[in-house]
Amino acid sequence: MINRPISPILAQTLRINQIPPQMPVKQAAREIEVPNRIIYSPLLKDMILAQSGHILKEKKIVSISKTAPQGLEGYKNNLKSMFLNNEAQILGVIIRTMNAQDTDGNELIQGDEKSGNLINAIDRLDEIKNTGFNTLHILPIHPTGKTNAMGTAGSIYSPLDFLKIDPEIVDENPPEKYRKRIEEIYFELTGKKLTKMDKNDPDVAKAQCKLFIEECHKRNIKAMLDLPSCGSVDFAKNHPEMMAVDAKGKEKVPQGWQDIRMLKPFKNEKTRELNEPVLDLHKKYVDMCVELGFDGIRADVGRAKPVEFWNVIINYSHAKDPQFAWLAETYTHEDASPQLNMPYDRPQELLEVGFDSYYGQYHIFNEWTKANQLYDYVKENINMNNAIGKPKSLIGSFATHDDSSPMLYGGAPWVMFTSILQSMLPQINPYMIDGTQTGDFYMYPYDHAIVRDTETDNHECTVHTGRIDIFNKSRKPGGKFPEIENVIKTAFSLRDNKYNETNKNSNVKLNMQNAKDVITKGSFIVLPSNNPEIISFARHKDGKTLLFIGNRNVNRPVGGKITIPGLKAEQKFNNLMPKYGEECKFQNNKDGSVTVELGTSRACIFEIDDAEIEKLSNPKNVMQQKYLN
Amino acid sequence: MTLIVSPLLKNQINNNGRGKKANHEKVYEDLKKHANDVKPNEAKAKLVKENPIQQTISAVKDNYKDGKNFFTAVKTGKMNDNSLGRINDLGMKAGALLIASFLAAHAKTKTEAIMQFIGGTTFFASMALWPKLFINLPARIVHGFPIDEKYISAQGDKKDLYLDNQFIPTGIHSEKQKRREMKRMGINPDEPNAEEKWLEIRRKTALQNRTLWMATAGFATPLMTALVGNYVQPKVENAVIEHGFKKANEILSNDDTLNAYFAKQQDLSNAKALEKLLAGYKDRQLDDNFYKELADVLEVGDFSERMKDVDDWKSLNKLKSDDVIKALKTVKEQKSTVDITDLRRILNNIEIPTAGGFFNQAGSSKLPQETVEQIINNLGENGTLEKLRSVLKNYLSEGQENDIIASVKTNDENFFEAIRTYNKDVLSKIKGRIKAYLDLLNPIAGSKAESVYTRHYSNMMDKIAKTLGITKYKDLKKIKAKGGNKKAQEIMQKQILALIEKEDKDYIDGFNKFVEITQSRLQDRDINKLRAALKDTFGENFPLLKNEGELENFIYNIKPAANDSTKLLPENKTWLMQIFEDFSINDSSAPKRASINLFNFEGISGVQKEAADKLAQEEILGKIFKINSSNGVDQLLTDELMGGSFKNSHIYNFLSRFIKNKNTDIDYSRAKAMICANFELRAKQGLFDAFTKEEIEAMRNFLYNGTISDALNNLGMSNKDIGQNIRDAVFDPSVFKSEGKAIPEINSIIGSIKNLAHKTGDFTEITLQANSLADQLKNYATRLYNNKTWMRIFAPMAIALVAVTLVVQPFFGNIKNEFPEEEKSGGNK
Repeated sequence: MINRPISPILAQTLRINQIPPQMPVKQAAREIEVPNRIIYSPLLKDMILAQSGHILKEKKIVSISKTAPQGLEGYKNNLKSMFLNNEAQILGVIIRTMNAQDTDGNELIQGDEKSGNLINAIDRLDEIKNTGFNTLHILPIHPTGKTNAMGTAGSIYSPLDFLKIDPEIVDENPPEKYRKRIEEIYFELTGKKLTKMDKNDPDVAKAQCKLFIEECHKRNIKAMLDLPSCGSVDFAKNHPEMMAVDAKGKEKVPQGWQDIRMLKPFKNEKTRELNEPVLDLHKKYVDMCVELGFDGIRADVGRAKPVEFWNVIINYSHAKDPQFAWLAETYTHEDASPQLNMPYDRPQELLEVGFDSYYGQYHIFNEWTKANQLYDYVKENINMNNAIGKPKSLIGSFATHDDSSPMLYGGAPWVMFTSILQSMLPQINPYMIDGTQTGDFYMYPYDHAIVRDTETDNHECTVHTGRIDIFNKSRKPGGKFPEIENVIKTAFSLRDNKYNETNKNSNVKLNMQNAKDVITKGSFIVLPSNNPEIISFARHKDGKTLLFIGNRNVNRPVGGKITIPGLKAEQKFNNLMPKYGEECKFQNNKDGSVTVELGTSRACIFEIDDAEIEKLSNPKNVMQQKYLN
Repeated sequence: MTLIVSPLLKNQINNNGRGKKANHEKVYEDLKKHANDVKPNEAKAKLVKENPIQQTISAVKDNYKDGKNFFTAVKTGKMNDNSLGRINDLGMKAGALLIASFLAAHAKTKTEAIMQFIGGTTFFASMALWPKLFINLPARIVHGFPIDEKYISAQGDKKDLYLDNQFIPTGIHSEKQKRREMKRMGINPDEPNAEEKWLEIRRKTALQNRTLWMATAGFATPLMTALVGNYVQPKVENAVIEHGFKKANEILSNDDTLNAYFAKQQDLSNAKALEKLLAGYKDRQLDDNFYKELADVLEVGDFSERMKDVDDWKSLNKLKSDDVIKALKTVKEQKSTVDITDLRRILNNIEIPTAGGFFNQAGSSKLPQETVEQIINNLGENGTLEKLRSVLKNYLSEGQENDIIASVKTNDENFFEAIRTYNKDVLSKIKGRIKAYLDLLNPIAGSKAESVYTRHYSNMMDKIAKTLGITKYKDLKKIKAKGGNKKAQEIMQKQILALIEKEDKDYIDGFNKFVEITQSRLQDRDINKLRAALKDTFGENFPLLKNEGELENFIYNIKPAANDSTKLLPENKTWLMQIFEDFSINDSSAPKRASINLFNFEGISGVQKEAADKLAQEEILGKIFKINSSNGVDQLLTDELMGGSFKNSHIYNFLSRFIKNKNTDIDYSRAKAMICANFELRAKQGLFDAFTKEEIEAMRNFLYNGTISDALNNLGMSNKDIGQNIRDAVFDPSVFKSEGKAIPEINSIIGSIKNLAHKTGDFTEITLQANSLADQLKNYATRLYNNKTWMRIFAPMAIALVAVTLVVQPFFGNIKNEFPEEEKSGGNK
């Protein structure tokens, strides 16, 4: 057994389980002393609050309705509320690979091998639900353009037709148990009887899609469809009236994506008159989504359309389904885009115009080598939320389909670390891309290989190395680290108020009744430490407190001292999360601080009895997302 | 953003739940109508609009901010990319400052040191000005918009708008500005894609101009820096001279300020070497080598061989080397204490002569133990060698004590300490004082650089060259080449003659007329006819007519040999050329020959010489060079041209020759400076009040520039007694007392000057050495040639660069106008 972490790739190659045996945590046996508490005078606190702009929780609640649990019978969409209340736990999936059957092990689906489709994807829903996800971000499912294509199946973000479903994800021989329902749905959609399960019949595809969503809803999983931002080259050829051109009259190509063309949202940018064909297309897209039962839309490159555009489309969707959710792929305020032919990025105005949640910057978390950088970003978003005057959230975009596998940065321990972290951060709906939950490196052996059989004009298996394959029919995502899934499951169970139920075998029991509220609505309190690599914060609500303490260093253990205002001398530190990697040690110094030794990439969550933590903390360290219900 | 949809519409939306058969199409149509009820948020980035003053203030602030960011980054490790990039600029500036500081520390002159910093600053200023003047400004004029706009990003960083061609913020310009620029670009502001075109033309123009900037900056910046540096350097040098002169004058103004200034001076640069030497001889017997080395380290003993009196400790610096060693040995005897054990050993072994008696022959015997103990008792504890010597004299035969003194072991700590104290308390102050004195005097009379003295000569050469028109590149090239001083002489002759012919034809004609009249009238010796003829021709103010007796003297002094009038004026050109040839060559006897050629050619008497002197030299050359005798600089020019090279040599040259002849190693430049400064000090103190203003001026001219006789002549004073008085006053040995302390050889020099003067009766004979005008012109021409060569190489480059930047502007920013004005139709919907 290896106690120190080794290279994740090497570990995978050697099939080494990186989890060392867990050592019992030594507790200090010192006498109880009176903690050295810092109590701020009300006057001082008000002054600091006024200056810092951090606002403690207010009683006055503005906006939204409480998210109620939903069942299939009389199903009612509540994804928008879930997003706004930070309750969505999202898995990004690609239908054509989601449950692909790669029998020859070359990781490319060829010949008789069965690629992922809308029917076999259903088989993975129980597993997904069991892990704790309650929302699927379904990456684009439309037929792909075949000209100038990237990859042998075409990029899923290069739609040939926005209003159709890719026949390649239709199962022409669905299991009997689903066939009847497909026929029923087909009839509902067309008024005709289904005679042949023809993948090229668009209504068959729609029927299968609707079935898949029904199956999601049966398991109380919400489904959100990814709306591509651009059209394929073939689409552009067919719809020149919708396409943007540059000052020289050439179609605009977003830099790095030669297979797609930008849409033209304005008829006249000067007068900001919208381009109706594009608007109508998106209106029909919303119609299609609602008809098929989708609960929301993830808008690819939200910045690609202006606020006037989204004002129409989002409000239109709410006319059809008030709980229809909108997630914007938008990152951070940029005065301009570094990507050629792409407009500036302004998350705040997209949120203000109706998007419920956005991507944010957590995908660069691995570049934040100091805890303060994380705290600053949390603060920035809470401030934005409070400035908008409505609840708005982010997804935990630590790794999306546009990012390299987090396994490449720090291996399974790092993925477990970020999983626990994002499950505890405020204003966050945890998000993962399929495969992350078991540690997929997204390293495909056919990377850039030339193959004979292709569905496009390209014989090269284009892959963005280290990222999930969106260009080819590839294997089902997944890795060899099931322990990650276990960690996610445990972290999500805390958010779902199912901790004790889910972790029956654990020695550690959770005493608080509503950890979910603490995590999704509680205040965020930074706990100062003397080591910038230690991330330490508390979540607090109604006198209940959860602590997060973690080491963001992927190379070595770190130690330090953390100040916890109001920490009781008799407080024990029992980690609620599964143990992995090197051992962590905690010693209550009985002076309002704890000395810690944290293993590489270790993250721990503790329940502590510290009702006063919020009051005793420096107001500058206390942040509260307002307007939550 | 405030309004999303109208309340009515909102209500309608809210009432339409999923699955209800609502009229969604109508909702959609309403929403489309109200699409523009929302507007995008205003850009967080803001365009920076500043006038040049604000820009300057901002630049200072930005540099301060960069420095602050740097220290924050060092402290916290936090810094964004933009700040990091700007640190590069700051680093360049800091690096330039460091390099300039290093070079300044090693600079030979203050001007050079200051120019290191000015050069650095100018480099960065040029870097900033080049694009502003030759790229951004023409671009703005040609294209109608600024390509050097800056903006404050959403993160608060100030950046160039077109810093990154692929990251150009939009939405930060006013509609008014956009419309104005679009019209200038020929874009209809109301056409659908007007903004797209406007942005693209701006982007392309900026990109092309920034590329041009990058391509040209490498040449332009150093060129501009050098041009500015060349322009500024003389002004800096002048300021340095003025500052130094003013400061020195203030300190020299009275004894109090001078003494206060000296009190601060100390030169202990030899302290380390002294300690090293003493450490090397600790617990060792001091040998002759030690004393030699010690004398070297102390830098005493080589000042003067004339000062032989050893008065006391403080007079060591007046000793010659051998005396120094002797004196040091004496000091050792006074300070070092005797090792008693060693002394007892020596005394016990010493053989003392015994006198022969009746029974005994004369011989030697050991010193009785009793005597040994008596000597030791008399010496006492910690007895010095000096005391030992006196004690031994009572017991030993004469001279025997020297061996014991030389061989007995001693403790030299007290001696070493005495040396240290002497070096620190006496020598360092003397040397410091010399150095300080020179520092003080250099701005006035320093001969190497940055003094009023050198500035006068530099200005004079400039004036001569310009007057003679020796500024043509091809002439300079010839003069600069090997043997160029001969060429300088030729060119000079040619130019002078040309000038004479061109500008003073009337005078030459007049002069010829004078000669003609004189010749014709001298033959009949009728002075009245001559006077009348001269008066008719030149008027009554003609010099020979002004004073009574002048004309008579003129005739009286004409030698009989002058009867051969045919040789009076062979050819104007010939003799003038001969004159200039003679005093242009570097030959100490040349001036004399020139005088002979000019004034003593056959048939011309002493009177003619006087006339020729007055007319030919002063008036002709005076007119040519526009000399105003009341002007100090021009006076120097007069001296140099009219006789400086053969009559008016300088005290400096004399001193250098004199001292060299005496085979001393004295730094004569010090002596010159000190003599001049001593004079200025006394003049300020009013010690020359007994003399007239003219006499004082004569003293000054004599000291700084020439001989006593010329100084007097220039002022129209020929009385030998006055000259003698002036000379005595200037070189009165008693007033050089303090200078003598600092640099003793001055006394010797002063004495020698006086003796020599008495011997020769005049200084003329001993001051004939100077650089020839041709040599000086050659040096000057070499400098000018180098400057011009540089300009000939780089000026066309600079012109070409500027031309390129201007010529290419109209070709920038063009885009093919392929933009579809109408929507394309068709397509498969």
